[in-house]
Amino acid sequence: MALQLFLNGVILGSIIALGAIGLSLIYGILKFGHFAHGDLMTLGAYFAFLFKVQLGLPFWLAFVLAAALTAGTAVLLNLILYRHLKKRDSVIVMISSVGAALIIRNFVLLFWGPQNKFYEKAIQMPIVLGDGLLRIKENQIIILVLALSLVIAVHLFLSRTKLGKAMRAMADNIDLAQITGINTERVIIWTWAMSGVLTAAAGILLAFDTHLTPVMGWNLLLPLFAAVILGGIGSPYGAMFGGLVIGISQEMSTLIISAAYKPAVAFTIMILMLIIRPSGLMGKKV
Amino acid sequence: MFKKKIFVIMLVMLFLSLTVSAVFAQETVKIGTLMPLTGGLASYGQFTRNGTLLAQKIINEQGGLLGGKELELVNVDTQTNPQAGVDGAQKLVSVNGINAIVGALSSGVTIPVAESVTVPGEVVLISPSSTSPVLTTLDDNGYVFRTVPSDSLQGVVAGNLAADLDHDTLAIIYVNNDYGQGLNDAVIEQFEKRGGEVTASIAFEPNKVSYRSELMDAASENPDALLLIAYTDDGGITIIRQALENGYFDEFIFTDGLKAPEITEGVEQYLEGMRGTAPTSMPGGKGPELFTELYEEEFGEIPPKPYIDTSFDATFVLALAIEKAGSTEGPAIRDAINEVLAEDGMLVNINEWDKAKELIAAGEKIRYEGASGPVLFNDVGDSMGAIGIWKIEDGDIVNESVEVQ
Amino acid sequence: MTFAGVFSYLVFFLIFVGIYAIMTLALNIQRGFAGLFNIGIAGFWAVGAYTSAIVTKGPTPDHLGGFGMPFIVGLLTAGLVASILALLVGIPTIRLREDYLGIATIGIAEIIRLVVKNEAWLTNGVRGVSAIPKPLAGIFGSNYNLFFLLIVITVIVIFYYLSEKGINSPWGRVLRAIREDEEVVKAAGKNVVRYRMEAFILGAFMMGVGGALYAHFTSFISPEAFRPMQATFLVWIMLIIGGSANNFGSIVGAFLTWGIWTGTEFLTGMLPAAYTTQAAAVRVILIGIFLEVILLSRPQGLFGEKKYSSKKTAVEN
Repeated sequence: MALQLFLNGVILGSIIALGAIGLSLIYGILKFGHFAHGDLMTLGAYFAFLFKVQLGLPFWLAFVLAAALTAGTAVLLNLILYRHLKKRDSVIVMISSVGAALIIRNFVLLFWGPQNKFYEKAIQMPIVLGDGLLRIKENQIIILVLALSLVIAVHLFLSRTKLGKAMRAMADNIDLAQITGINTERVIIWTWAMSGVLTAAAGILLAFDTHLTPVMGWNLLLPLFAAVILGGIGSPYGAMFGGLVIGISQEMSTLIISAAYKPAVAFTIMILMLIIRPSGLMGKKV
Repeated sequence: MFKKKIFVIMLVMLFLSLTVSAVFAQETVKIGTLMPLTGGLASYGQFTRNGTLLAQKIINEQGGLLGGKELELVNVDTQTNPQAGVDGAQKLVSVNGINAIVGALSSGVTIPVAESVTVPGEVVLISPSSTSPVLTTLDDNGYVFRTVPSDSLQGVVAGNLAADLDHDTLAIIYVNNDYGQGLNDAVIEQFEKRGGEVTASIAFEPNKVSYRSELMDAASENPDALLLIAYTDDGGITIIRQALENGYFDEFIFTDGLKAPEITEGVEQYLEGMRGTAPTSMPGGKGPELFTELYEEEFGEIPPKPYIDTSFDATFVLALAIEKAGSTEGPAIRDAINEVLAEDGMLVNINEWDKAKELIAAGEKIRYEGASGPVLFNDVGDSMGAIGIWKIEDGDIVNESVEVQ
Repeated sequence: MTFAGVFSYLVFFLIFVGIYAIMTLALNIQRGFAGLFNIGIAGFWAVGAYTSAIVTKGPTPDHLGGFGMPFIVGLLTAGLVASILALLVGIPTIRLREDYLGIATIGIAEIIRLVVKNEAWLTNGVRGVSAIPKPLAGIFGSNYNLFFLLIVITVIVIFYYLSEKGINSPWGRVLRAIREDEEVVKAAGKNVVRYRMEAFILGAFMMGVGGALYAHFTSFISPEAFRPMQATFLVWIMLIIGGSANNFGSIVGAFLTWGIWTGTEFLTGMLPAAYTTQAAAVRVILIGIFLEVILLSRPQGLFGEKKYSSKKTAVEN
């Protein structure tokens, strides 16, 4: 049973990791916690629903279009709201992101309704390994493969491309980055776009594994922040690692505590991190 | 300050429009309806509401109440959660001045509404579907009724069904509210009386993404079947799908909250032949057939879901009581319900509102043959009734047999 | 609707305005004066409501209770328990950066929600606590709501007065100085964490009392009553609209925001019932957009920060 929980944890953790990368970069570069990140996840999942189920497009195309639209939304949010409000105090911009979260969530509620939705009507019987020791659905294998591919793609982007390196530099130390002549405005826009793509992917994979509901992303916001803080704000690799740790801990915690308190696990880890080592496992000293 | 002025003007306009509408308001007789249009029972609420609307139509077409006044139904969406239900009931009573309410559907909503709003407020509440045994013993000063039998009956029928299907062991998963708890207890009692063993009895919270842990616990001792007590939209369907997907169960027995074709979507082949229980109309009598006819004329095809007929009846009975009481005061309506209905009264069918009015005016008692069968309350506001066994055939819901109290 | 109907609606409306005004005054102490970022208001609200319900109800098998205490005791206990919660929460978190505090408070509210939902021995879980006694219910009959409104107004007056007094005192001046420039105050030898903690606890006390009033008015509470975004977010809007660091602004903000919120409910109530959820979603979107517009164009709200009298000139200038 522990093995099954571990597997469930890895799947959940991969999803959280994808969402947390963008959140961590935004937090590092723009210095605020983006509370609408979970709801961007939801938006991405529902855009994919629109393209795949309502418009009948093939899954890969729906995925790409949804990711693009979400990226666009993220860039738009920054353009209209955050860019202006950043100049005032950081609490104002955070409250505005809470507002944006609410708007996005209710936009989804308005257009798609509150009922649970599925990408596929039929259910999928799992592949049973080792005489019931481990059950894994085909979908879940696809999720793991996709998540891994995206993470590798992100790694290549961040380490090989000029834009990626600029992003990391800005997340690490924004003043130093500006001095070296990086076009900060451009990097910021690309950071939002990339975050949008990754978080949409996370949402789509989550819906793929379970189902769509308007609060799906909001419910993961706390684990997302926990992953970011665990890994160190501004460190995308920390976010990946943090995501996995949070996912696995959350699922395996049911061995010891009641499943009802699963959400509290992420929070507890986060609080401990904040008290003991606020810079996170891979971040720089704050 | 500019902004401030705009707000003040807006508020003044709102106030004025309210007073103006008050001046021009028609006098109507109001009955409140608490129906779940969203949330776990959303797939039932719109239809049960139609039941109340049909009663309203017939009553208004045949002259209305209390000297020709129109019957107005004021509806509130309970969202299938007790908080919204109670808040809605508060508004109906405090703000709309309503003293008679049809609803709610879920016992989990009806009971708090009764305890917190209608009983203290001396408002009559008739539920068309709340089957929890708790309602029988509720301390309600006679203000709470229901047009559906208690789950003490459904539990017996479900327990017997499980035994009759040759299951020796059973696991039960039930929604964590008074309805689920009550039915769970009744099933266990009957199933054990018949020599069966309940290996697991597990409560679940609605609206969770995954019920794998509950299912894992329920399946742990390999029982023959799963008896599921749930509503469709806030957990029932998810549990069924996850049970099948993860290989926890392949034999199911359903209860009234799941009697809806939606549960078979995408999984027809796995649920073929599965059975369930639900309150149903009493056999014999013209009421049910007449109701189906009139409903389909007005709203189109009637779905095989329960409580549409009992909602009609609850509305009609409240109207009868108001007419008998000659007023819309809560205590008077409550007393009138018991006075106006009698087993040996003069027969009134569901489309004979005008006849009912004449009989009431002449001081006669009424034997009401309702949409769900004859409607009579005992001294604690409970109704007698019948439980039907239904079956899934080719992805559709089919009624199989009826057990009468 | 008759005139009597309109009047009873108004009283009903004002009671909710009053409860929200108390929450806003509380948040004003925490945010407006002490600069704390508390987005876990729903948690304190819930704690206050449940505490008062448990303390004032008679014995019942459903949940912890049976103390049967009078209303006043319920209110004060609610405030006290909320304060203790604030103390416990504050110890590890109050010294954190404001954004960390924000995330932490969301977590706290979430944990409270989980406890309320799952510890049925304490709270009856999802079934909620019903039949919460209304003070002096029998006496006022159909005019009861008017009486309750008077109770709420009394509490507001008391809190307003205390808050104004507090802010104009030496304690208040240090608090405002901390918000302006923490380092200077530290250099002056003041224990910044202690002042922040005190503001946090004071605000929490008020939120607890507000929550208790809510419980006694609605007579029924369940985990659903404290939907985080409605409880927490609306209060933030009220604070920002009225003007942070302005008690009068907080009350006006509560009135206007709740007015718009219920006003739109009234309008959408006229739509056919099938559109209820869509209408509710539209209302939230509109109020969200409204907030963003205010933040972009007039973040100081209607009244802005009130100029409080200060005899010492030091750090305010």
